[in-house]
Amino acid sequence: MWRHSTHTGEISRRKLSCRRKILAGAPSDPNSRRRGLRRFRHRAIGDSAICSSDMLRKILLSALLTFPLLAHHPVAAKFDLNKKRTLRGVVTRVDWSNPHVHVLMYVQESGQRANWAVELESELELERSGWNADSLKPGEAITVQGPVARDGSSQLWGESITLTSTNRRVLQMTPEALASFRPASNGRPAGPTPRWPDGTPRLGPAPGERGYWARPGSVSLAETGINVEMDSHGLLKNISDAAKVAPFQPWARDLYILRQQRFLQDDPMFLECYPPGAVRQFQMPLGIQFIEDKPFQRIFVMNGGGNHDWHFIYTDGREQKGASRGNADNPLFYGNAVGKWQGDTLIVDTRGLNEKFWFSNGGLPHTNQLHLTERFTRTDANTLKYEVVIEDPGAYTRTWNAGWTLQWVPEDLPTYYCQDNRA
Amino acid sequence: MMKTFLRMFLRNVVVLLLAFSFFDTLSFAQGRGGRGGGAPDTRPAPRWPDGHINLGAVPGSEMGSWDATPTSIPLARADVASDFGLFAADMSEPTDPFLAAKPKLSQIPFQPWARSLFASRVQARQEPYTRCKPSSGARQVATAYGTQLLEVPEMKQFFIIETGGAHSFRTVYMDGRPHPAKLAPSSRGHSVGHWEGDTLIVDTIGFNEKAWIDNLGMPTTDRLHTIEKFTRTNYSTLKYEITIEDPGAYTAPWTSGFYFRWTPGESFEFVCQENNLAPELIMGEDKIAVKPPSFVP
Repeated sequence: MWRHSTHTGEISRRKLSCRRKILAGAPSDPNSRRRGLRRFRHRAIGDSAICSSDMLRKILLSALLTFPLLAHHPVAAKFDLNKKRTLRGVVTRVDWSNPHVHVLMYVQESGQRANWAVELESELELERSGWNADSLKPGEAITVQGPVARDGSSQLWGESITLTSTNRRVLQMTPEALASFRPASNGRPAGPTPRWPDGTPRLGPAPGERGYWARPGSVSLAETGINVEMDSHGLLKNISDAAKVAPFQPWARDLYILRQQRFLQDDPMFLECYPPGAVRQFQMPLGIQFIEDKPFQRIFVMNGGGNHDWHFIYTDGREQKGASRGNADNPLFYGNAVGKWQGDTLIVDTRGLNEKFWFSNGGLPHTNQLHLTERFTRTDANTLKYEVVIEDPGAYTRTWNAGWTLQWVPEDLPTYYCQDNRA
Repeated sequence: MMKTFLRMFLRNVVVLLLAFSFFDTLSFAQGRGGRGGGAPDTRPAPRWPDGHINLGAVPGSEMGSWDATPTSIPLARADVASDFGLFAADMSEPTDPFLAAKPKLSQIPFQPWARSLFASRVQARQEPYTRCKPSSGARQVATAYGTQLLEVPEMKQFFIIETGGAHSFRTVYMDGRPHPAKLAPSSRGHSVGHWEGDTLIVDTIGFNEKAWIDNLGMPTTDRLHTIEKFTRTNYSTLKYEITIEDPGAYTAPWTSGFYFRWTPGESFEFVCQENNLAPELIMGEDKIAVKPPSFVP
């Protein structure tokens, strides 16, 4: 049912009893993640002797060593936000590539020359702040400030970079750029829903227009009606809210908590550049584009970010079974998605999903029993209402619902590749 | 010295060609999906109602894609590495019209450093495609399991969509826009297209230097400019030509290409990363270490 996944460093089911003991001490104080983590540490160390699994112990210990009790922004997963440095040196290279841009520099320190890597946000975020690959050039003297890497390597998260010659700040995220990823009006009056000649709503652009859907109103799954605070990565503000998020089975709740407490560092979409997968693709900051291939009764659903992949929703009336390659032996990241229009709503039924991905930001677990019913309604030209019914008797105690809106961004779909990293 | 080098270089290439049955399992083996078959369909190329060529599936007929690994006709021979590459091996006789259309390896106007890098890449066999990187230029078009060419006239965009490999797509803007003045180098560059008669011309700049435009690793720089021509010569045949202009790596522009065969069938989900045993090469060596998922588009 719930299968072991070595890729993500998660823990096989038979080890769950051990982890449950550990997580029994998961935080209950509603106001303090810090205290919760401290308890987590104590319990984990206290229980480690009775755990049979070395692997589990290693994972937990490495988590503890790597994550002291800090602010929960995931930059903290790599960098020690309490340990900041100022570096003065010369740019040797600007590595303008995703997922994060790096500025390489050398620094003269007490007679020694050291090479440092300064990590910044992604290309697109920097571009939206008005910078490009030429904003900094090799040979330029710079002053950099930010937190250093926890592992002691010569890496630093660049909170600010200043050109020494002009004292001008460069490569800085502007509030406007950050806001461009968040829900907001696209500045256009919401016209009526554009339609095909046959009257069905268009999920893509009207003729002569361009655009895609992004700026999801919610970045993580959470059961409709509940109210919990999360950041833009789906990290809970209060870990004690975890059980409220969805009707988890105990193991799923514990795994969700574990993923949260590890600052989502086990995310397979980030670690392996796996596809965002079902549901999560509609939470992506770089959006999705629908291309309705009417003659062949299928819809291309194309991701701007992630690994820039795509999949089909079939609207040709086929049954759930029979989509190419997806079956019980070969479950998929997007499953077998079959859709039909009911009035102005496209209803998509999906089964045949694998367990290799996180189906939501924030790390909510699922099993291969997951069955999704998604409803897409373009309520006006600017708004796509997304609703999903989640049925997974492997991970949840009952069927539950979630939903949000996506906004029309009248621009070209971004092109981002997670794989553009190194090597 | 130079002679020795050349001899070694050619020997390496020969070794590579001989070893391709092994190499093949790494890179193109994905293409052996058992698709294809049947006699080539020699009807004229289909057209859209406005008269221009339809490079994709024809409404009312079966869906399909372009396959660079056909099994039934020798448009490209799956047992010869260079059939999918951009050159013909120097020992091949130009009696085969398919190979005769390509430059021989010795005719490629390498700059010296590019020739050396190519020789080393041929030995190292570290094609980015095998590590699930988005492939570039000709290599993107010749992806395993077939390539869908989807023109969406209403959007004035043309999509080159892969099933295998990175299972991604390249957008070709057909609205007459120029390339942007400022372009961050990327694996696929920025593509604009237009029709010239029955041929779709796709012009691309803005490549990064990690991009491999073929499966053997012809070196390119960020000055690379490609001009690709897509001509559907009949219903089941697509002629693909690519002109490579890169004053950083070559002393002159050069042109090569290959053919694709229309292969009926449905595309499907393919995730290269799923069972790839080199994740550290997909994401970088520090992938095992803690990575900051601060921004995960």
